[in-house]
Amino acid sequence: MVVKIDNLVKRYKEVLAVDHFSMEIKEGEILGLLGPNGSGKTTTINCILALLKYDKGTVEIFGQEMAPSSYNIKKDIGVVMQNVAVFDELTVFENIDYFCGLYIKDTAKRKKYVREAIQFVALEGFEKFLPKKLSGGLLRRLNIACGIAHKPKLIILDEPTVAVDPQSRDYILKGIQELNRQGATIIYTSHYMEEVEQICTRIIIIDKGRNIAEGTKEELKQMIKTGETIRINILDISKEHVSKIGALPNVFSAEYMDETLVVHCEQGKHNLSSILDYLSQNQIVYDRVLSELPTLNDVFLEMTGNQLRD
Amino acid sequence: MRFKYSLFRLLRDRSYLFFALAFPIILSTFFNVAFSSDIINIFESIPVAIVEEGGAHPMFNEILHELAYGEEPLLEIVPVTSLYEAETLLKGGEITGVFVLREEIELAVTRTGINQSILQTISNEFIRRSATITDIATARPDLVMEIVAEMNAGIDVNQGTGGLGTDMIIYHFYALLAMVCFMGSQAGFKVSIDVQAGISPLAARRSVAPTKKMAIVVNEFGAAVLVHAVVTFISVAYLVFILGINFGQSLPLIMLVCLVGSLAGISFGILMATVLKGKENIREATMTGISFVFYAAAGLFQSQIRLTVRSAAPILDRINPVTLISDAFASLVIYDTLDRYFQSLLILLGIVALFLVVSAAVLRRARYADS
Repeated sequence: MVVKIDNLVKRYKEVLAVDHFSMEIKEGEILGLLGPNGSGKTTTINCILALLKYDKGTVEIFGQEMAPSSYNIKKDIGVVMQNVAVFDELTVFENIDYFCGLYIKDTAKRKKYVREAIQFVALEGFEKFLPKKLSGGLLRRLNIACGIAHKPKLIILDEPTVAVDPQSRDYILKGIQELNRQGATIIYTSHYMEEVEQICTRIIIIDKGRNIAEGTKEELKQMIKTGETIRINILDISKEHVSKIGALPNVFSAEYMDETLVVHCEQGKHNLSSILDYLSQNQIVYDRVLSELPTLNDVFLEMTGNQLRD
Repeated sequence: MRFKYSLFRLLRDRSYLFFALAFPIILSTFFNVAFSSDIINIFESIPVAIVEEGGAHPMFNEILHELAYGEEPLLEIVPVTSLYEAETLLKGGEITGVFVLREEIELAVTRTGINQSILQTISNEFIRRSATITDIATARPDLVMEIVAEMNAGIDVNQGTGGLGTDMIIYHFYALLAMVCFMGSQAGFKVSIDVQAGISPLAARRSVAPTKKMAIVVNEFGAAVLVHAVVTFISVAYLVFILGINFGQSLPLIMLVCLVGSLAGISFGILMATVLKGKENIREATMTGISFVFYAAAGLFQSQIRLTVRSAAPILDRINPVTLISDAFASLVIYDTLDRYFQSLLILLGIVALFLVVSAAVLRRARYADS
């Protein structure tokens, strides 16, 4: 087990930020911590890293208890913070070299690692640039390079794609998968379900500091009632028809708002055709129709009653 | 450990370099221009006339003559026979001021300037002490000459814009150097802030690395001392070689004050960033505010404040690091021996040690970002 957290509790005065949170991460996994802003993801990460003192529970990394002075554990961890943490006065190369130097003392080895990190995040040609000369996306890549240059066994990335353009985001996500292929175990926190779905081999849904559910994305979607969500654009429909649609087989909820009928169905065949048949039979005019399989947002919604981005 | 990058960070920090280097250079250039007309005259005696009406204030008359006596007299008394003659000389610019000794002591000048300020200081100082002097002179006439000598020293050493009589202009440059030294607090502030994980993401990133916090602090502290000492040496070099300010034979001793003063500034910055609570900008603003209290209490803005602090709270005056730095500089000019100079530096080093010990204790205890 690379990381084992048992019954972690962290309070900020009266606020319970992490509520008896437990999880385990096996070697080679990309574990996604998915939850809305303020759900306790960063606090949990900071407790794992011994940046915060927690009230209860245990944190073990590589089989040893983690503490601020656990330098033998820290040497194998790479961290990419939510906020960009680089020196404004140092160039791209110097920043990576500085942070890599906190882990790697051998100069030749360090220089090699720094060059590889620059190549990995595609910052060749920007080595002599100061951070303020970089775009937001390039700055995030520098932030990542500073965290992974020393080739850690465990990499923790806390919302690394916040405020990043789609191109850079895609680049970062592919980079994380590549790091995992190279042997790193990864903890990835985000409130973007698409990212978590795209790269994580296992996902933990966190809300109000609690571990709500965990599993692969398929396993999580199996845990909920929703099998299909159907959206139909309709100019006008009576409440009576909406409630009748809600009573159709496999349908467990139907609502009409903003000229869109949203129908949640359990998994089953012919859900869409039975709803469209009903609309035609009752001469209800519709145009666009969209059928979606359940998303992690649906999982979160059903389990907590809130949207991921509330 | 990455000492080179610690140096780069300071040397590329424009805000720090502006306040520690460019600002004092600009200010000293301004001083030089502002005082240039007086610099020519600063080591020459100030020509004055004394007009006695009714034999009033014999003690003050004696003091004025005492100040006009010696190898480098402060005053040159031009003999006149009447107030009219004195005023004619004053209007013609042949004398700087006229002391008229009536019931009240009156000083007539035709323009403002350093020399005129010195004359005003002499007059004010006598008026402030006159009751005491008269009492002592009545009870112990044998002590009159000692009182006059003490008065002379008092005016010469403690009054004026910095309290240095003929060396007032140089004192302004010393005061400026004291401020430059203490501006090392900015560099010291960053040393501490950047290892406190609860304050900055950079510190958090460093805290998760397998490197001891104190090792990082020592490394950065060394870089800050080196850079700031060089910055103050550059300021001294600018004053000496560009502005042509003559610090006499005491240049190595001035450099020593710069080094110890830089240590004091940097360690003060570390202490403030460590013991104050709140966000970084709040801590920095508080530190700047406290620094300005030190500057003011040291008389850098108005010498009268220093005098007030010295009389009301002499201990506070003696432990104000900025006062100690400027005193160390000034004692090179005032005193014949180096006793006072080394006393100031020793107290300063004691304060540096105290600041660093307290900071280290607090930083070591704060193992977590929220502790």
